[in-house]
Amino acid sequence: MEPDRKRLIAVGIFAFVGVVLLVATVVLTCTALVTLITGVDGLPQELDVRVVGEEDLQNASVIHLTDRDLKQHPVLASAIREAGSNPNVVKSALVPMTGVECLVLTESCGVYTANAPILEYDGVYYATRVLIH
Amino acid sequence: MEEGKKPGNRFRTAGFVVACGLIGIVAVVLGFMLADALLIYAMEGSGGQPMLYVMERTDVQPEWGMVVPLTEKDFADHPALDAVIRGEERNPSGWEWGMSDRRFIGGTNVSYAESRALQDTYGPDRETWVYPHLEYGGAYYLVVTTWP
Repeated sequence: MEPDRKRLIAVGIFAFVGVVLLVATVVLTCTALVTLITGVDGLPQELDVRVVGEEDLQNASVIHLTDRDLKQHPVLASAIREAGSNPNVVKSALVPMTGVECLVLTESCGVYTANAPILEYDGVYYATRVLIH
Repeated sequence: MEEGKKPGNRFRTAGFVVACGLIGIVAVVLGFMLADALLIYAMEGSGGQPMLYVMERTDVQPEWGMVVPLTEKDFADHPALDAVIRGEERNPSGWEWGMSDRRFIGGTNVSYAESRALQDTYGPDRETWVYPHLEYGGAYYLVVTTWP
């Protein structure tokens, strides 16, 4: 009887470990495949912001940004802060962003459009574009 | 049938194996739930700042399906959604940028747990990946969240 009991315990442990490995593998594989297929957030994107002078405005549309706008768009706030941080070099900044952030910035500030408007904040004008890698 | 192996023993063995398998499934589910909770806990302390964004669309036809009327319960369950759609975080942009049939309505900071909850409730269908349109006051909205 004793060997039978040991065998039963061994089979039970084997079944437990087998199911754990099987279920974990299936779940992780499905998750990885869904992530791969949907791309979750698409290709890596960067917001390119550069300071421009008033002479570059010409007939461009200008959006006047408020503090509230920057609070609601942390990526844009980060880029503008970085572009204006060093007055001695070319004033531009590249900030990574997600697909959702790009969509939102496009709908609110037109950053990923053919004739992207110029953004103005605190008296400084910024041109924007989106880089997709 | 081998000597000494009764049908009752086989059933008992099979039942034991099935029971161990079920315990294994429960263990995996509990493990994933624990890992998820720990992940959220770690993310909340990471300094990242998830955002809730709401977009408004104009060309939505209710007969397309996937239109969900927003109720007071939705706003009570998700104060951030309330603040963006009809509260102090409402900050609509113009219609002329991007697609002309939609515009940005507003956005606000949310926690990782809230970002997940909003995505689970108002995010895209898991099979079709189509976002539901939320209807409130005759306007249609899309809810998106970030997970930095």
